[in-house]
Amino acid sequence: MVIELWWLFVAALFYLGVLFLIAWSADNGVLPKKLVEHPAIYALSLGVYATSWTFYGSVGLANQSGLAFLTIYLGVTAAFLLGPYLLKPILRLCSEYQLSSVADLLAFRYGGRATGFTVTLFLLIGILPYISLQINAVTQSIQVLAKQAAPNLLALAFCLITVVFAVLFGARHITPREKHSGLVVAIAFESAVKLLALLVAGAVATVQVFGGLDSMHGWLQQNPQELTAMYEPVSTSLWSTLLLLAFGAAFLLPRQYHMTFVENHEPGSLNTAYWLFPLYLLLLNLPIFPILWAGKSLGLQVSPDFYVLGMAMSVGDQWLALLVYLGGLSAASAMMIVTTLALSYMCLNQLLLPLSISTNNPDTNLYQRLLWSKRVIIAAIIAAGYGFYLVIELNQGLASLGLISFVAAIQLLPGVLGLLFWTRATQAGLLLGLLGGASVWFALLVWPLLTDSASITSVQNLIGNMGFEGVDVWSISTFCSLTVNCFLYVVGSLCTTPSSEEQEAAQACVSDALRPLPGLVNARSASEYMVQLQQLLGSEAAEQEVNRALAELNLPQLGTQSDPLEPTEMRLLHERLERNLSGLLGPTVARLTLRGNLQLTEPANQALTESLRAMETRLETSRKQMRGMTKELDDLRLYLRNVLHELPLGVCSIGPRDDVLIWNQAMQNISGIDEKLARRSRLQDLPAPWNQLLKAFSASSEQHLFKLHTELADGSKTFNFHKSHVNSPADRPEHPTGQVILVEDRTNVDLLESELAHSERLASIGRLAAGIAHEIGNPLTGIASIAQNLGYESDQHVVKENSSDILTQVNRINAIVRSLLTFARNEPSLGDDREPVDLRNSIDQAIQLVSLAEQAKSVDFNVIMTDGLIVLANAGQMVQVFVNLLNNACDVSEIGSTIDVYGKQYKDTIVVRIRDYGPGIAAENHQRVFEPFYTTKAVGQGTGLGLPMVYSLVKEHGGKISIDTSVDKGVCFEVSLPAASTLIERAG
Amino acid sequence: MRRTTDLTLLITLAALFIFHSPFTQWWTGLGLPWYTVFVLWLLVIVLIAINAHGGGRRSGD
Repeated sequence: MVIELWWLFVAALFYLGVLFLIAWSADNGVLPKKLVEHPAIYALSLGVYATSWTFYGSVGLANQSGLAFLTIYLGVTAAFLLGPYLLKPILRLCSEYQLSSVADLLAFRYGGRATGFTVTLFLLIGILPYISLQINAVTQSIQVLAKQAAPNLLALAFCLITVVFAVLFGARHITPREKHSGLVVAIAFESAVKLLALLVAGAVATVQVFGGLDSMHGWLQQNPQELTAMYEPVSTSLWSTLLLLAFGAAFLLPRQYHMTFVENHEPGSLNTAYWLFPLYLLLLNLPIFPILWAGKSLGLQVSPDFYVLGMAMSVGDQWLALLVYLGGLSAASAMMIVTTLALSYMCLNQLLLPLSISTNNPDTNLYQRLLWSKRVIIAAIIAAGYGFYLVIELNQGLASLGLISFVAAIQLLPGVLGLLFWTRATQAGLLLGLLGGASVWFALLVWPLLTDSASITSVQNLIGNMGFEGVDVWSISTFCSLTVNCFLYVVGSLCTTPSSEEQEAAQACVSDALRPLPGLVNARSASEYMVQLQQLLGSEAAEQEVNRALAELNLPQLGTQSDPLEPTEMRLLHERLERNLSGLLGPTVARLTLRGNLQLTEPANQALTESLRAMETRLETSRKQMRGMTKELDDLRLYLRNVLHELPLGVCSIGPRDDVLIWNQAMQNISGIDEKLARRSRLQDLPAPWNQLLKAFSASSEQHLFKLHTELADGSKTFNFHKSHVNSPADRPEHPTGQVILVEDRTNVDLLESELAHSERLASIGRLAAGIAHEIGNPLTGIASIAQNLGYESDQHVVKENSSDILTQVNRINAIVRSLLTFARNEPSLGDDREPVDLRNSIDQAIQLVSLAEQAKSVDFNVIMTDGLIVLANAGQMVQVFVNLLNNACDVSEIGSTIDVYGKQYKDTIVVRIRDYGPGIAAENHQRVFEPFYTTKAVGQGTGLGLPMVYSLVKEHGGKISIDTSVDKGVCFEVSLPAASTLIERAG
Repeated sequence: MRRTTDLTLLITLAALFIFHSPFTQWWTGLGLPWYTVFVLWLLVIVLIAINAHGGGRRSGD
């Protein structure tokens, strides 16, 4: 049976047309998003691993190496089994830092242009044989089906169609931020076609060729050498080598990296891929041995690589042959499309842009330039693969070409493992190792392929002559290249010191911790960023990138900002831009662009403050993504933060530049300054008087400042200040420290303390007065008697007059002594002598008593009191209070003036105001009048004990007395006492 | 998460034991049916699936 060449061409065109339709449907929303982003589609798309080598070459490799061919897939299973340690961290790095290829990943970790350049160049050379393998497989399959040599023109047509597809569906977006959903679905579809084709071929081999499973087993019993050949290679070195090569290829080959990490929509999909992708590979390989044995039993005259096609032709099933042919086409085209796409990212980011970005014209559209560059690179890579296909001698079988690329890819394994687990590794070590390994790889595997006389077989002979009998060329080349690579990598790393940038990147790679920027952003506004980026990216791209970053951070867009961004926001903007530009231009150019033109300040004292703020902001926004220990630590952080926030002491933490970091609730209450405002400011920028207070205290050498009186808008306040230096985190001792300042509002405490001191003073004076009165009273009585007798007994006028004077002075002393005794007897009432007292009656009695004095007779008492002003008090003491107050008022009142007495109840307090219209009391003496022995009266007119006594009595009754400062003439005493009803209610 | 880690290590050890140890040479020399290797491979895949889904639920994925 023969299939016409044109038929095969039309079938290929039709099939690729279907692929276009599927990709277009996914990209344009015809296919539901749920399906497009389903984990199974993602896992199936990873089937790009199975190329034409798998599809056709597995049968050949199984024939040559028995069960060892399965290690190519068992190694992948091992890589996915270790996915939580291997794949998940790389996926995190890839999405967090927008790393679009393995070259970007290594350049991010090891820094510098040289890393990306070397890795890209090496992979480019390493993958070319693999691309040529795909072209070769397609042309050979046509040769088998059409029974004629496929012209190179046909291979060229296949390459052109692949370029068109790769450009249309793989190079539509500039950055990996936008996933190529259409491409992913198309590749998943191709994987399904490959699987279907091989399963059908396997079923045909079993049922149609052998007549069923039993017959096949019967054939095996008749040919026991087949089973022996199948199991024999397990004991050879090839088994281990292929396992290792496949393990590395599972995520290091550019196409695998691209589909696994760059096109991943949802990290959770990887959990499904861990098992579904190996299952896919298992099903794909299940029919390989039946097909091989069917080919042998049929005695096919084609290379075992193409037994699957030969068998289909042999059984005369044209549709099966076409299906298998399309399966092979799927395998080849999928590999070429994804590989060239991945390599185009690498070439653009690591080869082209570092050289050309500085020459970019600000007027050009960078996006278009990048897009077209990428398209040209895709075409160039496929053209190079086609050139390689034309040049090399294809006498090695499909597997050999594939394995050459596998050995190339494994050279990246030390670097990637070091990236994940070894922070000491350096760029010098990586480059040395890579160059050493690559040299061995080139010498042993590529050079023989390129020269006319040599081949891999000749290398095998060379190895045999060197004494490595029985060891295959793949094991020797893998062992030698990896040994040289690892040795140079380790020694090179240990002999050099990692730069600070490498150390930071290393920390970011080995832990989930977010990487803070090592410095402060110099720019002060987003527009400043745009202006500076314009020079490199062009106006349009610069504006779009800055606006995109602002939108992702929920910050106002360019042109709508009223204020410059605060330092923390600028820092976040810088980080976001670096991340986004890394996806657009690669990490090397992104760093060069941002850190070269938008300098950061030295990573010294400012960094800690801003790092903490930026880190805190990011923690707040990424809480949903936290899990496990990270979440527990963040919960602890929030708890401690709440403790600090709710502390009933004002807490203000400042950084080395006096930036306010913490401003808790109590601090807001004390200062009246909002937390948001405070945290945007430095100490000196806070509203007065807090700027001066805190700045002065922060700068002083004192650790504590007690009872600082400050005039605030709501009156005079008293504060205690305490401060302490805050140490930097242990791993960043180079940063200077900040301070934490505690502010304690002592106003109320001070008031209570002064009242207590006043009461104490009164009590002391009372005790003293009682003693003096007692001691003076007795001799005074004697003096009065003697003076009186002297007057009676003498007739002399002078003596009588002197006696009278003595008695007058004695009476005066007596009055003072009585006052002292009265004051001294005002001991705290126990409360059982209290009864409901109507204050109106107390006032009336007091007025009657006061009116007995001469002065009071010439004064009018204007009493306005509401009824029912009942207090629970000692009636006598209440009269005494008002007598003293009214007496004082009378003393300072002029003849004919008025003394006003007002009484009213306000809620649960009764207030009595006694006002005179005398000369008044100076404001500074308002408090002193309640101190004992202070008097404004002339000498001999007052003892200074009346008002202190009133003060004591009122306080004892739970009330207070004060001077109303609002009156402009005279004095107004205000006595407040709790109403009896309130006290009774409370007692009840 | 810790249980997932333990299971991953256990499955890795089991896979190594089956596919890359002297035991591999032993069982491949027993003349077992050709599909034995696929059955063992499937067993490992089932274990990975159980581990991945159990771990996913526990870690909130």
